[in-house]
Amino acid sequence: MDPLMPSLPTLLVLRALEQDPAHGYRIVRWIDEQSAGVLTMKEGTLYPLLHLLERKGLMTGNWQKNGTERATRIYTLTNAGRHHLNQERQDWGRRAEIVRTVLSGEEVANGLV
Amino acid sequence: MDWYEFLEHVTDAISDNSEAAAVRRELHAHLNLLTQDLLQDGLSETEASQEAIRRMGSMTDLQAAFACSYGPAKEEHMDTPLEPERTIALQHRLLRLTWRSLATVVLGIVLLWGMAGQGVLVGTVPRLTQGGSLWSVLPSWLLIAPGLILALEAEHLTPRRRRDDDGSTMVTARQSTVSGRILFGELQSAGPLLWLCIGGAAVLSGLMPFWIAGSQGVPKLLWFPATMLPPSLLLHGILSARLVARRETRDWRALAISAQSTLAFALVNALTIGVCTLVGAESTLPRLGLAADSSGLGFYFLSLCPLVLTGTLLVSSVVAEIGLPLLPDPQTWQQSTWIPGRFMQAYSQHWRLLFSGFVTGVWLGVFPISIALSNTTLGFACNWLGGALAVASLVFGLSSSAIDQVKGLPKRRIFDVFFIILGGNVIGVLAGTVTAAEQFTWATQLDFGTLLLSWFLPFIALLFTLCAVSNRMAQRWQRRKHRHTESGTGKRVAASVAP
Repeated sequence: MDPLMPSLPTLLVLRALEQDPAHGYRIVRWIDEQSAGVLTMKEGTLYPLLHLLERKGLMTGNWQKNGTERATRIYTLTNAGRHHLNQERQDWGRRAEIVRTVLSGEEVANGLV
Repeated sequence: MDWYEFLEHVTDAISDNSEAAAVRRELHAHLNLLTQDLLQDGLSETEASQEAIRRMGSMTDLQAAFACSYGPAKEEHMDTPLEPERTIALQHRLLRLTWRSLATVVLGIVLLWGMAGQGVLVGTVPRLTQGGSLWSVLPSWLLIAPGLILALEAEHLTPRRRRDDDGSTMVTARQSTVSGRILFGELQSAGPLLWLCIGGAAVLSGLMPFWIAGSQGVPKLLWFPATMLPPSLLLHGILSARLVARRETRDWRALAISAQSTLAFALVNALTIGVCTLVGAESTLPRLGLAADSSGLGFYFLSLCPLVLTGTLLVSSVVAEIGLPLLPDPQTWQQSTWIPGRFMQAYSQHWRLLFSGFVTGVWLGVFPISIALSNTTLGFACNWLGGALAVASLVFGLSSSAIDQVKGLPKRRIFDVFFIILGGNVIGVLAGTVTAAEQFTWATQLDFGTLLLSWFLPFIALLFTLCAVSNRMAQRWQRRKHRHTESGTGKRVAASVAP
């Protein structure tokens, strides 16, 4: 993991799965819709990341078939994944604030980073 | 571009075939969902299909992303929980000599001993061609039987492809055979099977020269494939075992498996040679027109060859494990302007395998003829030593780092390896035939059967070709069937994805 900033793709993927399980395509669409098209998750980033997070135990993937649709691999957040998401979310918020402060030229309070 | 080709290219660089299949299947589902959305946006079916691929992004970038993530060097792989069969491998089940396998080997030896004692094995019964009994032909069939049994048993080692809604159920034999990559479905049976292969291969290899003496023409053709099959399976088993152990442990276990296998092979082979020599030597040698002189001793070198082979195999295993570079760096091929060099450039990652395959092909084409023409101890010894080195070269190529690289090869390139071997073999056959033309007589040792033996490998290559073609046709047929079936329901499926 990036020591300076939490991984944005990881954060987004975990967030996308926070409410409901979803397959890769739905995750891409969710990020696209939530960011009003500003953030785009490419498949070459998404699927290796999904499999990596699955190997780390942050989510589980299962092939499911809904009705007449073709089977898709549905990812579900695990408890460890939720815990990790909360941690990442706090880190992101804290550091994003610091970055904003640094860019605006204000003084950063000690111990925040 | 077809979805099938697209997904094949994107996952080409993923070293693990099962992971590649999983990614293909997942991306295929992704493409399907994307296409459905595009169809709802008003695009035609063809446009939606192409647009879906376009939106997936650059094929090269995707390939690089997946290669980086799923490559063997990725550390995350080391953290993944072991699959059950690999866990079993780590528990040394593969090294266990069970009572069943031991009984099989011992029973086989006893049976062969008994047959040898009756004069069946070494041709003491007059040959059929000389008006003798059918017994001279039967041993050929007896040899084919264990070969077939071993082949059927080996099927238990190959992955049983799960039928799913996305792809073909065909098992690509060439993949599992060439790359040595076998997923052990029932690894508990792999230990006994491996030992069975070793025992069968050792016995039959020891018998081979005696069989040459005892048969002629068609029988000779029959026993030869049966004789070649067990050693092939032996190498198959050893390589697979090594691969399983090596991928997960990267330590001495791989070498231990190889060493135990080769030593067991040598032991059983030596026993067979001893038995056959004691029982059948007196009647066999005159049949060949050989006296108990240097020529006769040379004949026995044929039987000793497997011992040389196992020794070489063992050395090559050690060499492969410690990774000594025996051939020039692949970079030298890449810089070459020489046409073969440029050819190798395309396969620079797999140069070792190709080189080994070529040498083996040449030798297998030459050796039956050269053996037939050699009537001195030195001649026989040189032939067999050369052959042992050639086969060991192939083993080395397969079992060293090349084996990891081969797994990343696209299927069509894996198949190309067979053409390399086949090409080398044809060169060897032609060279041997031309060289031996003056001494060729149908009545002598260099008979029609001997020449046909040279073409054994092309025959195998032909089988692989047919297998590959039928496999490809089956996949296409299945894809068409998918299209046809689902076009009736308004669904769009552009390609089936082999799992």
